[in-house]
Amino acid sequence: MEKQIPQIDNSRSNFLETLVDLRQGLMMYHLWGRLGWNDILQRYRRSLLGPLWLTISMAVLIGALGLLYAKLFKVDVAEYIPFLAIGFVLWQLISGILLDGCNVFVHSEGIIKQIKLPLSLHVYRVLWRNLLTLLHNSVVVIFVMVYFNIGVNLDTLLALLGTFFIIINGGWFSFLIGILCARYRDLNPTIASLVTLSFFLTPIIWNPSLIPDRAFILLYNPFFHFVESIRAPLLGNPVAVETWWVLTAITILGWVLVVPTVSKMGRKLVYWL
Amino acid sequence: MAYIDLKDVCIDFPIPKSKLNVSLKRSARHTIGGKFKSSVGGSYVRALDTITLHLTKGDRVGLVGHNGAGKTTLLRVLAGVYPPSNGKIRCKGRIASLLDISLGFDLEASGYENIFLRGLYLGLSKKQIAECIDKISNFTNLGDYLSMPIRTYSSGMLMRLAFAITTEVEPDIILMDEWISVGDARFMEQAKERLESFISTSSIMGLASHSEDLIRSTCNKAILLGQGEILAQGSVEEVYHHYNFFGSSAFFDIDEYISIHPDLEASMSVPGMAPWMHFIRYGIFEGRSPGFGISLEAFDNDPVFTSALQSRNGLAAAERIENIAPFLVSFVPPKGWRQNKELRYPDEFIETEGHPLISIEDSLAKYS
Repeated sequence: MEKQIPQIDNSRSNFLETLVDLRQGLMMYHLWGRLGWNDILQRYRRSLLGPLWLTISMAVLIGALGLLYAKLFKVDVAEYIPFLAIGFVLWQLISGILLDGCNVFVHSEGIIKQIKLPLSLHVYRVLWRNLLTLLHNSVVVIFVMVYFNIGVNLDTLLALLGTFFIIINGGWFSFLIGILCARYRDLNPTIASLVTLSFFLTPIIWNPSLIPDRAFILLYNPFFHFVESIRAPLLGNPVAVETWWVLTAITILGWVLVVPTVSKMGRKLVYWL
Repeated sequence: MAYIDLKDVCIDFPIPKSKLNVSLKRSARHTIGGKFKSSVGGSYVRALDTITLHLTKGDRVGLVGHNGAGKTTLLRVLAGVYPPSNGKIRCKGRIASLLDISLGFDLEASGYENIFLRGLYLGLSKKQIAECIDKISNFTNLGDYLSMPIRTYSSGMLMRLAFAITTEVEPDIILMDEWISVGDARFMEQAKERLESFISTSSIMGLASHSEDLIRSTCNKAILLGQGEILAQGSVEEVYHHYNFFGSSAFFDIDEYISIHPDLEASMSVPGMAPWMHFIRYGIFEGRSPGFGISLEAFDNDPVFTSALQSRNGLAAAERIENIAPFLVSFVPPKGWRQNKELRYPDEFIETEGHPLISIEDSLAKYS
């Protein structure tokens, strides 16, 4: 085997170590690809429909909630259901990453304590698992968009950029919160309740147009920008320029702040598990 | 070429403050001399204490020691799992660790799928795994079972599967923790054969086990750990001599030692601390009697014993006691104790008043 011989040498700088970790983790895509997919399969093992249940339960939820809330809010079903479907599916992606991020290292304790692998591998696994869930759920979105005859043009592709933003920010968030949650076990339930709260504060069920333009609750809610960067292009609406600015800023700031923090704490992680 | 190099490696486990029993901590500090440490950042247990170790090609090291001595922790350090709190670790070579049989196994997936999965964990590419999957399945001898979900396997069958994959990777360094206990006799033969061929081509093996037979038959070196420190290292024979003499010999009895020194009771509840270890590290220097009528005063004039004390070599001093004890009049043999027939009369021993020696004939007659 002409492969490079792996080495352990703890005299390397922590910062460099983290960058190497991120790269090595990415290279092991066979492993985290498999693990992420296994996670989904495992949930539906021995069931007849398997991961198709993801799609089905999402479809049922959106159908029922869509009809109910359209009545409550007194809006057109053809307008409300696509809005709700996209928002809900995206929220599942976001909340999935936020909640899985808390447990990214705690749940991998068995592996981390047995074998030396890049820490980022577990982060990629979580992101991949949630991306796969999104793909299952997006079947519902596509179905809804076709059913309600929503036009598609080049701008629709912007939705892919928005998805990319969610994933890449999920990366730094999971890495950081995963370590913190291992150290401070009270953080996990805190995040969980905050995520529930954010669901109601973010315009998923209700339309942002109900609130006067540039309201505090929208402008300073990062989740709104993440959701909007995908939902707006899909519904054929323009995305506000500030949304792209906010997303870019969060991405850069997040990674720049997290890499040094992770370098400091990453070495201690295994002792906290 | 593969090597492992540890220099002054310490491993500290943080303990949340509220969880540390205060009285335990106090007594531990009193008698053990600082295994529980406190700093501004909080309290911690030192699981490994300034370990310096150098392993190179051909070393098959057995890790010996009682529960809590630090064997598994050391293996995990070697595997790169625990970054040391202090000290340097340098290590070169592909490591395969078999610390936990079920690592990365998906119980619902088939044997074949799990070979794949474990292979990926060990850093093989899909292509490499596909190439050696036949060899692996042959070695496991599991036949058609490999297409079944592995939740139907017995622990012995899981062991076969895990062992087959791990050794097929052709690692430079292989680390194992009590691995063979579930294998049947035939598998153990196979496993030993496999290990031998693989040790001859590649390099280093680390094995932690309580089975003396296993370590004697597979290792060419041993390390005795206690309280996170290396108490002895060298050939398997030497290390077991120390371990058996102090660890499990009838001469040194745990209850006897504690009953004579009741103040030690609290410190013995600390994981990893055994009375015999306390004796050779502290007791001998504090003039504590090991029991059985042996009084350390009897050795006051003995040059071998006093020089061992001066050089702080508890092991050598204890060994001296072991050799002299059968000749002391005051010695009360413990239950199950047998006189070593090859024991030689210690001509150079200088008696202390009140502790005369008996002749070798009398000694043999007395304890036969």
